[in-house]
Amino acid sequence: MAAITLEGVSKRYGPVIALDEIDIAIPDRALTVVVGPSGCGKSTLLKVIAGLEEADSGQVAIGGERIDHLPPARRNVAMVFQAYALYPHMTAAENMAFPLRMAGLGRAAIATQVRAVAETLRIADLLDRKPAALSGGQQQRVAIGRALVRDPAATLLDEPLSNLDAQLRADMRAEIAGLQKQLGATMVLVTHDQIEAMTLAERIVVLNHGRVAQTGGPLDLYHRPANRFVAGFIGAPQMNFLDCRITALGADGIAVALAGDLTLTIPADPGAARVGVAATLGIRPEHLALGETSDPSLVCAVTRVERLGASAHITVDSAAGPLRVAIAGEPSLKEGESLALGLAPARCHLFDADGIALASRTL
Amino acid sequence: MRRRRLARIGLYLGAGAFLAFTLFPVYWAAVSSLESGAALFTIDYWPRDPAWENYSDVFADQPFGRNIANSVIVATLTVGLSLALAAGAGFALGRVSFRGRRLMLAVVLATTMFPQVAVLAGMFELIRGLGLYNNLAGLALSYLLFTLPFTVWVVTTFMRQVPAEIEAAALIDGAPPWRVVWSILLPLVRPGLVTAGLLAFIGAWNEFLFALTFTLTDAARTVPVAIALISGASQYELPWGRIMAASVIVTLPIVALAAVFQRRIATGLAAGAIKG
Ligand SMILES: Nc1ncnc2c1ncn2[C@@H]1O[C@H](COP(=O)(O)OP(=O)(O)OP(=O)(O)O)[C@@H](O)[C@H]1O
Ligand SMILES: [Mg+2]
Repeated sequence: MAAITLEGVSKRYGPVIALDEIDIAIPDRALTVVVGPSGCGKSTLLKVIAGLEEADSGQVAIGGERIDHLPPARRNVAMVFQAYALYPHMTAAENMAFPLRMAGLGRAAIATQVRAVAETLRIADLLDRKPAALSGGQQQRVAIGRALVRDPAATLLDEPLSNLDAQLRADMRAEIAGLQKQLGATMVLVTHDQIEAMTLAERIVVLNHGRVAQTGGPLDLYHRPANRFVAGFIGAPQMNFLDCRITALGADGIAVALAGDLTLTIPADPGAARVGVAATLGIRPEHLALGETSDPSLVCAVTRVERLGASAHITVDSAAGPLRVAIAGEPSLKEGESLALGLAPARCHLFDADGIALASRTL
Repeated sequence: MRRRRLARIGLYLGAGAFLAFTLFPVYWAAVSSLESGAALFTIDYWPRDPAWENYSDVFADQPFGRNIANSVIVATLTVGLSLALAAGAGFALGRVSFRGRRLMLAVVLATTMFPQVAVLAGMFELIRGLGLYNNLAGLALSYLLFTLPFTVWVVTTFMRQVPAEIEAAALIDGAPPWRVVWSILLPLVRPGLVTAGLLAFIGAWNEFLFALTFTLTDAARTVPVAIALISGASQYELPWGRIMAASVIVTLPIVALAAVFQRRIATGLAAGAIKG
């Protein structure tokens, strides 16, 4: 088990920059989730750590030792692939035994280790089956077993749940998290699903266009997104973004004017912000208050109501633009209804013209 | 309902006609091999007086057993060499990306365009230059000319179908590259190896022109040449019975091989060996 550190790692495929000066420190014995939209370089990142791809520049170290010059076989890193990549001509037991055989273990030691891992993963009764005779979830377990059986320094999982149906995905998610804790393993899991990232991770690395957009705990990212990309990517339904203009910088924060004659004073550090420049105000749907409020408010008209049972998503039209609102329970709202919409300044995020967050004081 | 039945009857009729067309020559050979001398020229669908001695005569009048052994050696050697080379080439052409890969594959295929007669003289010089004239190894070497393009092509195609992730998984699991080829890729492309090997065997077994040109003595001859050179008591008599008996004998191993391996090919494919 060991911490993985990447310093200045870059990788290009022809004109495509898959990884751009990546610096991350992946903690020991923790589950780190790398999340980002499709094509942002998540798989490439894992391949560089595993040694399947060579970085153009930068360093990769595990437990303080540089490994970027070693072949995959000598990095002591295991990997679980999206399509499982089990060896089709071998039984589940043979699949899990393969890394141990390559490590030169004896027959008896291999058998005991495979059995122990199979029992942990509850696949002991499937050991004689070939992958074609296993369900998706069972194949996934075998693939995880094959990775864990040799007690690697780190286990990399590339979208391990995306081929499973929703129910099984939730189960396996809990199982992977449980397994990681039980074994105290260092795991890096890649996903494009932010909900998966939020529920699984102790630490999340958000990637965008081959760059690290932000690193932090799930709630750090939720409450203090460092930029507009992370603000929009983390959280569902997505954060609302409204154009605004900075009108004053004061001791109590930044005053902004929105379309529709609304002025808000957001408790944020002005930093490099200047009066008169355009900015973006962000507020999460669950932080908007519908109906009478003491917060500064806009008049809006309900255009759409989606009732989910426990909560409802409401789309409204306002002078500042369309907004999404999430509220608990089952509202008795009708489309076309006109209401007040309160924006609590303490819940607002402010992003400068480059999409960088202006540090909030309260969140 | 009626139409389905009609369609089915049509299918059986078609299949029956096809079978009759392909099996008739074999049947004819079997029947003629049991007829002696002049009986051949009267049309008989079943020999009334089967001349079994045709079969023993084949072995008595020339070293036919030796010829069969030669054919087995040459064909086996050809298959072994072809598959060993194709396994390596298939890995390189199918799984390693390098500059000029497409060109190389095209060149490999292009060599099949030359008819055998066109390369006969050049090949003869090569074989003699290597000191392999009238030698079974020389014959096997020359057969690579027509077996290799095909085997390389088939193995390359099969290698390509193995998902990249499976190879990556093996590398990560600690397998050195040769081990990835040996333990993972080759078992997965086995249906391809079997198919290509079988066809190479049949090609080598039946080859006539090179075998005639590159061998001199009876002892070095392979079956097709030996059969062609079976002669009668006089210049004017062609011993059809014995020729046919010899043909039937040498067809049997091929039929057996095809029967055995065809099932393997089918099961290999059905097991989804390539599916990830
Ligand atoms: N072998 C390759 N050759 C060329 N370009 C590649 C190659 N592999 C990846 N890329 C490119 O590099 C970028 C990052 O790819 P990568 O596979 O890491 O994305 P990803 O984040 O894993 O996406 P996804 O969520 O779709 O799996 C993409 O733009 C992709 O097109
Ligand atoms: Mg990917």
